[in-house]
Amino acid sequence: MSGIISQPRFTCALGAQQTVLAIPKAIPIIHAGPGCSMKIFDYAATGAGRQGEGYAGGNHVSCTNASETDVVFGGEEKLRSVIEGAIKILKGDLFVVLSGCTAGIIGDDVEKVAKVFARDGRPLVGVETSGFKGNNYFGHEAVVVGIIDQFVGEARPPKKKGTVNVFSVVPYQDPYWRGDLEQIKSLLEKIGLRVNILFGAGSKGTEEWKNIPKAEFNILLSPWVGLSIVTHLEEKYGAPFFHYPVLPVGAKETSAFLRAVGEYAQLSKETVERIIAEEERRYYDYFVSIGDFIALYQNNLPYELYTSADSLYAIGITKYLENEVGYIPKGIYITDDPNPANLEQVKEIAAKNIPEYQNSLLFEADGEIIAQDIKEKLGTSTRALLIGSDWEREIARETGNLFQYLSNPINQKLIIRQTFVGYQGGLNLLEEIYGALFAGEEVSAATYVEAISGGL
Amino acid sequence: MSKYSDGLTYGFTESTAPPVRETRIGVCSAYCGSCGDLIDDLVSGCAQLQARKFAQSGGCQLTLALGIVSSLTNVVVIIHSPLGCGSAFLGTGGMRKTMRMSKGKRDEDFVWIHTNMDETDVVQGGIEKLRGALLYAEKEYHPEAIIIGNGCVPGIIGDDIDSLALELQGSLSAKIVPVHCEGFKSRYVASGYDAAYHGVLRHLVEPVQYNERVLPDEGRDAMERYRISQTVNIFNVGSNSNSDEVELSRLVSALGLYPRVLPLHASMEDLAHIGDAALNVSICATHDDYLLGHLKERFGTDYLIDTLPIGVTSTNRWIRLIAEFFHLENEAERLIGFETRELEAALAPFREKLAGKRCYVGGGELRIITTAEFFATSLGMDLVGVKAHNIDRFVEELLENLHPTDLNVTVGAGQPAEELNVLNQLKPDLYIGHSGANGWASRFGVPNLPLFGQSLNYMGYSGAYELARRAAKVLKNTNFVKNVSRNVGIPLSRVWFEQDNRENIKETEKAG
Repeated sequence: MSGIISQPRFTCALGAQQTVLAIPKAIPIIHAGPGCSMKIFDYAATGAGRQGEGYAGGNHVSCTNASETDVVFGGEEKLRSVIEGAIKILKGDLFVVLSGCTAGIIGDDVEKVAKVFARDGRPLVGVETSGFKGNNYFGHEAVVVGIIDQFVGEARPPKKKGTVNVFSVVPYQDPYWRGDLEQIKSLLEKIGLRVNILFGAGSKGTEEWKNIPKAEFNILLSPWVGLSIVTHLEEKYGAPFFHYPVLPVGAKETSAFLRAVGEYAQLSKETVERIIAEEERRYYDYFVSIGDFIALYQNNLPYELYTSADSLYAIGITKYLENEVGYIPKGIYITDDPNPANLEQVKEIAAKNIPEYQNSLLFEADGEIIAQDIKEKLGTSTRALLIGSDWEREIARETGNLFQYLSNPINQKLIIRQTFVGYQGGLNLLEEIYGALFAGEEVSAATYVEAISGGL
Repeated sequence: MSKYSDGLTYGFTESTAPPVRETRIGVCSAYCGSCGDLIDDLVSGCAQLQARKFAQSGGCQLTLALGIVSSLTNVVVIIHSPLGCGSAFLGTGGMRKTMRMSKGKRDEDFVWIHTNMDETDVVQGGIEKLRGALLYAEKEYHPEAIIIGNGCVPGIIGDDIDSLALELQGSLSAKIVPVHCEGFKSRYVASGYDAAYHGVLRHLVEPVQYNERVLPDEGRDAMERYRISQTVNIFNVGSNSNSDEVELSRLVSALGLYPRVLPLHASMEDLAHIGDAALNVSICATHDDYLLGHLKERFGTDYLIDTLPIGVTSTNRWIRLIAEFFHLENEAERLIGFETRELEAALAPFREKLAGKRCYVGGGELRIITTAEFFATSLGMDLVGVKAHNIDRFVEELLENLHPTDLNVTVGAGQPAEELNVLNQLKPDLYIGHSGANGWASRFGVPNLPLFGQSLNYMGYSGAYELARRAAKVLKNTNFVKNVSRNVGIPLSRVWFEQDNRENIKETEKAG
């Protein structure tokens, strides 16, 4: 979508900076105007659950801070000087040069500049990510492909059976990415795969990236973001990909995911089923306590569901809460602005996974239109659960409904390792949703007299 | 009433954009050395020519400019640029609301619209999209003003936003305010304040037209004239809190004057009356010399640009200068005597804990110098260095008063690599810094305190007490920073720590 937009939920292509920062010991170098890098940080780290600088983010990001002189005379010379400084001063295993709008318009070629350093054996990559080229989903895909082409390279080593690369949530754009990726890795390892998770604390960094060509196959756990990456890997390294478009949240979907991966990878069916049975037993052991709570507080609990997030999350979370917890989806707002070809695919995925609620679906990146729709549908209801960003939080506060954070911008919450993925994630989500019920005031399902007389 | 602005002129409202600060007042944005050397190099002009070889991400004037104008009541902001230019506002969502509510003003959402320029717009121009956004903003929100923040892309491709504003002005009820805050145009991020106030002065400051009374009432007219003759406009800034405004207003009231706080969070009505005052008082020259200088030329209102009232010495000085203008010297001394007697006694227990400890202060020029002076003079701390975003003519005298003359001074916005190198050499016990810097100090094991906070009092006498109290509290238990620094690394190489920061500075041919 390239029309005017208010209350946006993503940033420009330069958001790729955060994708680089999500790779352990990878360092972005920004060739853009002053402040571009900080704005990305403000949105994607501070405004994504206060995630902080990480290893070398925040104002530590090297930048040419392009000025009027650079715009008139070209900024490649200045860029070289900043690259030279960065590789000398900063301890990193991979340096990724990203261009912003000023560089893009005047035609500075960051890939060419990076190549000169790479020829001298420096781990340098250059990718064009001018803001006007697209949003940060586009930037994420571009930088991953750039690193694969320019850093991982042309190698075609023998494939290692049972080793997979995983492409899923977009780091930082998914505010829960750190916990999510750890959870996905752990689930896949349980059924016997060796996993290159590529981003976050569970990744071995550039060493893992260098092993991408050795993977037997790639897993794309996302409706459309990352599709261009895995198809590129298929062409480049001959590794096929397994596409699972729904976020596995809770017992049913996680078990389905593990079964599907197990089948695709031709893992021992017995092992996979044993793992699933064990995980489900544990899951329902915990789930039953929620069952008691729900039965007791039925009158106080919300049941209308509004979810506002990208296609991976909106469909995954809605499906879980509808299918396993009993919510009634009223609004499913998909905010990641898929292009027309991908849009059709996402619609199919939604139709398959939440078939009864197709009328609740709205593809919209403009938060204001979403807000209008929610308010209209809500009417005077105070029995709704709104799941989304700061924007939905405001509506929940205005209308006296329950709220849960899921998507950016998130300014009023600290996210460290929380996740809603997997068996564990499903329980985490319920704990957060219903925990919030007690945050504002005292809630009781019984009258005072009933409570003290033990309900008799 | 400011010797610093001697020789400066402010009559730029005929042009669509103000000159950037590099050319308007001259500025040093890169320096590593001693305080004494910096003063000499500012005079000779060579400090203004310095630049960095290796640089880390700086700030964009669009963020600061729109931070100012977006605070006004009942306005809509349009960011004319690709989507990322407004992303900083996503990270600060809710702050405008908090501030407005703390001031008891109407709770309003911050509405901003992106023209979301794409590749086609870069080729074909973005004016039609901007027109659409303006019409949409008018229809949807009926604001009193629509502000256009112009980004780098339309700035480079040459979108003529001023002609469009002129064309639509008659057909929209909202006033259209183009703000030229293209990031690449200035290395001095505070140029954004000038860009913002330029827009406000050109399009929003329209003095009220008073009609003659049907029945003449000389008594009432005289009272109104008297009130104006005793009114002081205090110019607030983005980094002060409501409690700062309450404290400064209290001090001005105590002199028998009428304080009025402007222009952040002001309504169009407030702005219309901006000229109805006897004296305009700045609390930070970095923010508002352009505005105050212009108001003097336009309305003849005298202004005071001197120090930032943080700490005892600076607050005393600020009060004395205001009082001097109104010939209230005796009242000022009585007030200062009373306030400082109480404060000195209250500070004593903190002084005991803080005296002799080494401190370092980083951030905006006026705030750091006044804060550093307070920690050194009033609390007996050992000031080991300061780091300023930028240095300009407005702090020359304050710099001269900083001791010792070989005090370590760094000039640079952000640049944590250089700052950590300095901290490594100086090893302070307490770091007081601008947002973005404190996390790195923590990783270095240096206990730290934010230089400002939206909901905390820093200014005036009550602010001095609060600042001392918080500093003492930070040093009471430093286990968190010890824990972080022992277990989390810093991304800088040993080579860097062995190098003198001055090696990263180069001289350029062009000032600014």
